Amino acid sequence: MCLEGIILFRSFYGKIASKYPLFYTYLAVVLALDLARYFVYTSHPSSWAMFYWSTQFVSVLVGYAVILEILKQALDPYQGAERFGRYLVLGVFAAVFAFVAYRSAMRSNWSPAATTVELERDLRAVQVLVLMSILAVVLYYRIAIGRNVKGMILGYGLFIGTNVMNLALRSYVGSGYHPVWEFVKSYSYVASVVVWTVTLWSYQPNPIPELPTRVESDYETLALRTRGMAAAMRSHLGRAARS
Amino acid sequence: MITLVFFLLIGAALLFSLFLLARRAARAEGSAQALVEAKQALQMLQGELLPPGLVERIFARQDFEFVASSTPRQVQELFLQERKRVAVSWAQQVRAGVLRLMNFHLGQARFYAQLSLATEMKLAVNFAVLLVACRAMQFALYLGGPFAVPGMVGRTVGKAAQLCETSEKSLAFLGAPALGGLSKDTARRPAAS
Repeated sequence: MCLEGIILFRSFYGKIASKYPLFYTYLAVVLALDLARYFVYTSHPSSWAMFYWSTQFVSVLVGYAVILEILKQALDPYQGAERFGRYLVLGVFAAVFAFVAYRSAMRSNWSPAATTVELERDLRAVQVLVLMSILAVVLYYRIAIGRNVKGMILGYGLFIGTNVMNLALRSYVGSGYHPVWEFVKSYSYVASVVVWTVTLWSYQPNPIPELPTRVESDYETLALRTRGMAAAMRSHLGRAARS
Repeated sequence: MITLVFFLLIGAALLFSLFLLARRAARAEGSAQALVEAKQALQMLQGELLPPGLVERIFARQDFEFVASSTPRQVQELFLQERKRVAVSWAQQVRAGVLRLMNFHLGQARFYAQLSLATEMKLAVNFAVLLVACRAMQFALYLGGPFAVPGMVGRTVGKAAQLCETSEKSLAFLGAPALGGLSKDTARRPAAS
């Protein structure tokens, strides 16, 4: 909570909040939830578990704001890569919803998740897949990203990556895993907040790329020529290897 | 159990992607720099790696036959080792050239608003196959020695000409004539961080 407060304070002090509004909205919501949970934990301990799980879904859902911020910030000046990323993200959502529909059609007694742990695990898994799609585009097109956005990706990725594995183990092993689950959950989030504190201390935007000439008109020519080049090389190597 | 493995795998895959992102150098790859690198890769392929004389010399069996006919066994083994090293290194360099040309395409394509998802997917597969083929050739040379792929010379010369022609066209259409000046400008300019 303390670190979250520091990041939010720095964001207003350093005027970074307006640059990454969705990310800081997420952080403000999570801080508000943490404060509310602390209040319930100290004043109404009996209803804490119920309150925790109901607010946890708000936390998971608002996490999609971070994903949207990453998508917007990382790929913004690269129209082609952004288009590719958008289709990939939509593809992931379509695949997930098709899978859910298929499962529910196949099994009459099937529900999206048997427990709250499983529901959170599934929602986090979708975030993981979407973030992986964005990362795939960033790495494939060698897109240069600045310290702030890199920090957002590393922090949130670390948190949801460990969380999905942790929740899967919690769901599989059962209550015996609960102490480990608590420990990993807390410390993975602390690690993420430390990453954000360091990387979002001051405003460091993405490097501005040099735009190529004749950007709008000649993609087809570029793609055709590159494809011809690749095909020629591949056929040459194939024949050489066979001979 | 399958569900557990699935979730563990996607979590681990994300953490591995983050590792790749964290260790990647943070530099802005401008189009001018990519153009220079592509031109250099093309020049390297055309002028240094694929000239018929050089490729014929590296993979010529006559040299070995001459060595085999007039020198002791140790010298023959040494000759084969050295020639294999040269051949493997040659294959590595060809692969590096292909990688640079691929980087050039990616560096350009990422800006195009009209980018086609299907075309990009096909190109990604083409490049992946090409790079795997290069690696397989490298592996075959490493295991089978410099004469493991004997028909390579003639075909390399023919296809190299084809490759260079298509690459040259691609670079020319993107304004490669200005590359001379561009190279100098890039050399003078400090690297972007």
